[in-house]
Amino acid sequence: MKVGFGALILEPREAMLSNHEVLAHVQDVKRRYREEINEQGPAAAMKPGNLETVMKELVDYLSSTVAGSQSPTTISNLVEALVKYQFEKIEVLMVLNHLPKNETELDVLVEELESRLSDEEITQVLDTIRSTHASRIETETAE
Amino acid sequence: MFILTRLTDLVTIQPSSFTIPTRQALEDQLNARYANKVIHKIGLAICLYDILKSSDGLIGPGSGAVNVNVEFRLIVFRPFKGEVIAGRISNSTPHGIHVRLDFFDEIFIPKDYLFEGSHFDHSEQVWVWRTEDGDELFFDKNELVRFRVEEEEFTDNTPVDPALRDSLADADLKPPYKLIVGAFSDHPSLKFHASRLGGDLKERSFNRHHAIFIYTMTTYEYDSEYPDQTTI
Repeated sequence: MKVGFGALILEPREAMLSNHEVLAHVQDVKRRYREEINEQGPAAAMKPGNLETVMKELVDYLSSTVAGSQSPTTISNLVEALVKYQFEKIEVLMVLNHLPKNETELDVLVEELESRLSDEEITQVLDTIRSTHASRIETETAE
Repeated sequence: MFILTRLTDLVTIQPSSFTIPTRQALEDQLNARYANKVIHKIGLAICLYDILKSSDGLIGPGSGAVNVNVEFRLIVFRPFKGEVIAGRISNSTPHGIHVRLDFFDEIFIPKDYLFEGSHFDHSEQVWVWRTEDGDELFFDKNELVRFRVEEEEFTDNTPVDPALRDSLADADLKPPYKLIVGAFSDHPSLKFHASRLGGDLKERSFNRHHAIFIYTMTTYEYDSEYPDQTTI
């Protein structure tokens, strides 16, 4: 597919990213830019304005979500633990991005929750989310 | 919410940028070209993810600039249909509610997608949702809401030959990428109740979204003190 300036789109949807991955990437880029400034002097600080804007706004948004408190370990633990419940890929992704705290929140993310999982399984899923992301819930209680 | 898109593009490095490392120059060029811009039918490009391949630089006749073919991946904001996202209310009108994320503003909840029993309060300019118990809940400005993506709308804003254009005003006003969504409220004082709902209500509704609305409506309970949110 062709777009504007003679660019070519090879693969419109190569992969999906969780909020945490995007946040981690942007923070990584910011860190690298700071190193460049240290090495190459202040001239390297001149980054495109549109990039600065979107990176700032994105970090503002994502740090207000649960993505700010996740880590690759907590995510992979949770994904592994959810395998046995046969969720769809996008459902797992949404669970990662939202970390539902109770049945109602989970029901919004997962279609036909009641007919697919028994009550005990739903409780197990919620317990798994809670135990893999324990630190987040502690900080929220503190607030 | 975010996807990776693979593209190729021709990047021109001006002689003034020859002092910085090529990789960095390519990254800056690509970010300047794509970051925070909507690619038609793809989504809102956030920033460069990685560079996969780049050709040798070629200098064309007539200028000293180097041309490089680059294959790279972008992080793109493109929620799928049915995805649930949290945002803040930016504005309410009789037609519905506008919601924004910090980096993306074109999200709209039409009044048909609001909860049943919602009405617009003209004096306060807010939508009010009257629950079955008779409680009134306000969709105030800056309130955190959760919504489900129902439709997306891309408008091609490429300039058209004025001679071929019907009217001057038509296309220019529309945003290039817009999401049309349904609402779930996420007010802290709405205490979630895990009590289950009878099957009859669900069957009566016309579609899935309706089902969710009805369901959500009866499982929220208003509590002005908003006590222990963390019942866990």
